[in-house]
Amino acid sequence: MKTVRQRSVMAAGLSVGLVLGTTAALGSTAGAATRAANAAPSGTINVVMAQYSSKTAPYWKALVKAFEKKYPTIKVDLRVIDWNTLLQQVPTMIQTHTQPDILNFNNYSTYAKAGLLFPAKEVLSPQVEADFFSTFKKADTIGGTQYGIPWIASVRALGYNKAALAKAHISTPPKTWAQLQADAVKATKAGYYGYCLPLGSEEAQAEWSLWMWSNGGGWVNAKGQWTINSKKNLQALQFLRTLSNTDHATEPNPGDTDRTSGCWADFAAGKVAMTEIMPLGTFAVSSMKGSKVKWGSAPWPVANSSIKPFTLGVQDVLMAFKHPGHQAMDKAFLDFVYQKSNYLNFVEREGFLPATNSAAAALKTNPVDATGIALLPKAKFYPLTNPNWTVVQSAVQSQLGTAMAPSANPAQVLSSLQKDALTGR
Amino acid sequence: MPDQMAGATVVAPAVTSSGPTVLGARRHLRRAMRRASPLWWLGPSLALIVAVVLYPAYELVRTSLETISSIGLTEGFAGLQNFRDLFAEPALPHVVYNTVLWVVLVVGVTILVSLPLAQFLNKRFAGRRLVRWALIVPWAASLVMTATLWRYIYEGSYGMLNAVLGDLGLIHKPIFWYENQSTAFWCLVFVGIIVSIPFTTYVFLAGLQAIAPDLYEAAAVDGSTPWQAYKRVTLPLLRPALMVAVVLNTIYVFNSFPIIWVITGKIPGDFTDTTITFMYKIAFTYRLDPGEAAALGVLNVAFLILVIGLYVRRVGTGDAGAAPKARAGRGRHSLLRERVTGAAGSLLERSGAALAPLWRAVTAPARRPRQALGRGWWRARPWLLPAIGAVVAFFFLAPYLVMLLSALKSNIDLFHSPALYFPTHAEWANFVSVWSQIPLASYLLNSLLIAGASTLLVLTVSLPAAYYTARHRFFGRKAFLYLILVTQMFAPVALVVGIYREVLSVNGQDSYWAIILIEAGFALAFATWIMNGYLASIPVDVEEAARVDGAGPLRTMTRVVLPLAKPAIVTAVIFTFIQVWNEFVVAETIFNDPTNNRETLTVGINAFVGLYQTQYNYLFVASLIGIVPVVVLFALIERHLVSGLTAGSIK
Repeated sequence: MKTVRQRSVMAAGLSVGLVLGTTAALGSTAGAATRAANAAPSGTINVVMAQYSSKTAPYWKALVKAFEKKYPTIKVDLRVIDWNTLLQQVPTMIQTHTQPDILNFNNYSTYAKAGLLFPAKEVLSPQVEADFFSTFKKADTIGGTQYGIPWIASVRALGYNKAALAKAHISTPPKTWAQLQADAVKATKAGYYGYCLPLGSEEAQAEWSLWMWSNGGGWVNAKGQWTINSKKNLQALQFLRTLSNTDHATEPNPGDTDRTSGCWADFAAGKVAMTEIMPLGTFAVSSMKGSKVKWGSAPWPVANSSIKPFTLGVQDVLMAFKHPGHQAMDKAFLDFVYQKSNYLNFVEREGFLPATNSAAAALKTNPVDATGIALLPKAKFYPLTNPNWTVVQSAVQSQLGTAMAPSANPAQVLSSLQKDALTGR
Repeated sequence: MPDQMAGATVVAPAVTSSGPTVLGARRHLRRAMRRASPLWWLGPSLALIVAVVLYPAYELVRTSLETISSIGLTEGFAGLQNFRDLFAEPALPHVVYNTVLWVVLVVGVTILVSLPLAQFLNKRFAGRRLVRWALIVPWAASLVMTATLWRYIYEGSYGMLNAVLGDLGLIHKPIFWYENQSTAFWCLVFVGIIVSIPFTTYVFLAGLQAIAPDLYEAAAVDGSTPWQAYKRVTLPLLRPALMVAVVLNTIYVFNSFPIIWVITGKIPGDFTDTTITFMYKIAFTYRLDPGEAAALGVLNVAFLILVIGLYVRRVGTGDAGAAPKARAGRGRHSLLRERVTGAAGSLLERSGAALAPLWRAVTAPARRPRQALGRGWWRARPWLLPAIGAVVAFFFLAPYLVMLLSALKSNIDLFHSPALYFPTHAEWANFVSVWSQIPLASYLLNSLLIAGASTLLVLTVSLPAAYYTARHRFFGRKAFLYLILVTQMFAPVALVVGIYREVLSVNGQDSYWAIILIEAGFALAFATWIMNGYLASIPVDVEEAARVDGAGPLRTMTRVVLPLAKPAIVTAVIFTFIQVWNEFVVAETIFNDPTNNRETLTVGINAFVGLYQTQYNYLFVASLIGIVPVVVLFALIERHLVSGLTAGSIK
C-alpha cells in the first residue's frame, strides 16, 4: 500500500515536472530509477518494434541504451523489423510461441481475444495511462479492459494541388461529393488526374473508410455488427465507379493504384489535382520531398450536409504479451518509452501525430502538426476491437480494388467481403 | 539395374578395365571398408539435408493437418480440413491455370531462346567474351532487385518502357503495364524469361563444349549439311544438358516467388498468382490461414516430384531403347551412331557432366566445321557476329543501364512523367551518401561472410559425397542422388516456418552459424549434383595408380582428384555463392536483426522501401554495389579456372 501511495506522489511530481520543464522532469526520472531499484525487477525482455523509416532503428537503439543504463538489472533484447516482414513474422512468432514481451503493431484485438495480452493497466503507470487521448483509448478497449497501448497516429484529409485547382478555375476545394465530382472533371480537362483514388492493396481500407463514412455508411452498425455490404456502402462504391469509369476523372486502374508509389508520387510530380493525404510531417517531409507542388489540405467532402465532418484516425499500438513475471519489467520499459522527451522525440522524428495529450500540447506550435492535431478529436477509427478486423483488413486490401474494373460486380465484391467478416476467414 | 551398370561402364570405363590389376587381398579389405564407408562420405551431406530440408518439410506436413488461427495459434488437429478449404477456394482453378501457363511459357521460351544463343556464343568473334559477361549480370543481380527494377520500368506514369515506346511513336498514351489485367501476366512472363536465359544458356554452352570436335568431322565425312550435323550430333549430345535445363528451370520457375510477388503481389485480385504466391497470400494476406497455406505447400511439392519424376523417368528409359534409333538415322551414319549412343550413361551423371565444362565454355575457343559456309558469309562474319553480339549484350544490360541512370536521379527526376532517360543533374553523391543512409558496409560484410562461409561449407560437405557417389555403387546410392534433387523442389517460402522453429529451438536466431548452415543446406544439392557428374567423367586409372602407391581414399581424393576436378569445383563455387548472395526469404526470416546490423544485403536494402516512400535511387545504388562483388569473384575465379584446365589436362 505504501508503494502505491508513493507512486501517486511520484505521479504528481511527474506531472508537475512536465509543466515546469526539463529540470523537474529530470528529477522525476531519477525518482523513477530509485523506485525501480526498490522493486528491482530483473531479467530480459524481448521488444519488437516496427520500422517506420530509416530513422527508426537508431532511435530505438539509443533509447534502449539509455534505459539499460538507468535499469542495469533489466536487459532489453530489441529488434526493429520493417513492416512487410513484420506482418509475416508476427504469425510465425505466435505459431512458434516466441512472441516478444512488447510488440509494435497495427492490430491487437485478435491477440487480446486469444488471451495473449496483459491488460494495459498492468504494464503502465497510471499517469501514462491517463495521458492518452480518450478516443484512442476507447478504440483499444474490449469489454471494459484496455489492451492496446496507443503508440502513434495519423489522420487523413483531402489534399489538393493549388496550381491545378487554379488552372481548372476552382476557387475553393470541394466540400461535397457533387462538388468533388464536378471539380475532378474540370481538373481532368485541365490536364490532371482529377482525383487520384488509391484502392490498391497498400491501404485500400483507409481510402474505403473515408468514402463509406462520408456517405453515412461504415464497417459496422451501432451494435458493432458488420455492414460492409450495406446499401450506403454500395452507393459509395458506385459513386467511385462512376467517377472513374464514366467520368474518367481518376487515374487509370484505381483498383490497382497504391497510395505511396501511385497517388502520392504523382501528386508530388504535379500530375494529380486532388487525392487523400496525411496532413502531417511525414507526408510533408518524405512524400513531398523535393517537390515543387504547392499543396493544401481540406476536410473530407461528404455526400450530403446531414453528415458530420470527420476524419479517419489510424493508430498503431504497442501491446504487452503475457509472460508471467515480466509485468514489472514491461512497466519500467513502457514508462520510460512514454516519458515526454523520449516519446516526443520519436513522434517528431517520424513525423506522426502523438497519441498523448501532453505530446500534442507540445507539438501545437508546428503548423503542419497543428492541422493534424486539430483533426484528431473528430477522428473515427477502424473497428479495431472486433477480432475479425485483421481478416477483414487483409481481405479488403486484396479484394476491394477488383470492384473497380468496368466489368466487375461491386455488390458481389462487397458481399464476399461481408462473408469474410462474418466468418472470420 | 542394367541401365545403371551400362552407365557405369560408359562414364567410367576404367573401373572395369583396371579392376583386375589390384591385388586380391587389398580388394577384400577395401570392399569391407567400402561397405561401411558410405556414411562417412555422405553423412555430413545427409545431416545438412535432414536439418535444413527434411525436418522443416515434416513441419510443413504437420502444419497442413492442423487448425491454425489467423494470428498463428495452433488450435488442434484438422484432419484434411485444410485441404478441403483449399479446394473450395474460388480462385484455385485460375491459379493452377496460371501456374501451368507460367511454367510452360517461361521454361519453353527460355529453352528455345537459349539454344541458339548458346550456339551463337559458341562461335568465335571479336568481343564474344564481353557478350558472355553481359549475360552474367542479370544472373548476378538478385531476383528481388531485378524485379523491383522491372516494376519501376513498367510503371504507368513514370516508367521507362512507356517513355521509350512513346518516343518511338508506338503508343500515344501511357499503358499501365503491370496494373492492367490484360498485360500484367505477360509482363511477368517476360521478366521470368529474361532472368532464366543466362543460367540456361550457360548450361547449353557447357554442353556444346563437351561435344568432341571429331564428331563434326565424322559428320562432314558422312556428307552432312550443317543443319543435319546439328540435328544428328549437336542436339542428341545436348540432351543431357537439355535435361538439366528443363529439370532445374522447371523447379526454379515453378518456385519463383520474387518476380511475381514484387511486381504484382500487392495488386488486388489473383489474376497473376501462381500456386507459390497464392500460398503466401493464403498465409499472410488473403486468408491469414497458415494451415491451409501449408496444405498448398505440400501439394506443390507433391506436384513437382510427380512432374519431374515422370520427366526424368521418360527421358532416362528412352535412352536405353527407342531414342538412339531415332537419333542416329540409317546405317550410313554408323560411326556417328556409335559415338552418339555411346555417350548415354546413367541419367544423373550425364546431366551433371553436361554442366561440368561450363567454365571451359567461357574461355575455350569455338570449334566449328567450316565446310558448308559460303563465301559471302565469311566476308560478313567479322562484323556481323560482333554486331549481333552487341545487340544481345545491350538487350541484357539495358535494364541495368536504367538502374544506373535512375540511381543517379534526384527524387523529382525519379518520378518524372514521362520518364527521363538521363538525370537532369547526375547525383553522384547518391553513391556516397548511401553508405551512411543504411549500414551498407555491414550488410556487404555480412553477405560476403555468409556467402563465403556457406560456399566453403558446401564444398567441404558435398565434395566427398559427390566423389563417393561417382566412384562407388552401393545400396541407397540412387536414392541419395534423387533425395538431393528433391531438396531443390521445396520452395524456401514453404519451409520458412519449420526452419524458424528449428533455429529457435537451438537458439540460433540472428546468429551467423545458423544462417550459414541453412543457406549451405539449400545450395548443397546443386554442388553435389554437378561435381558428381564431373568426377564420374574423370578417368579412374589415375586414382588407381595413386592407390597402388599406397594412398588412402581420402588422400587420393584430395591429392589426385581435386586438382583434376577444379573446373567443376569452380562452377559449384560460383553457383553456390550467387545463390546464397541473393537468397532472400530465409535470410529475411532468421537473420534479421537490424538493431545489431545483422542483415544481409538483399534484406537490408529493403530499408529503402519505406512505409511511405520507395527510395528507388538509393535502392538502385545499393543494388549496383551488390552486383560488384559477384562480378569480381567471377573475374578472380575465372583465372584460376584457366590455370586449372591447363594444369589438369583432362582428355
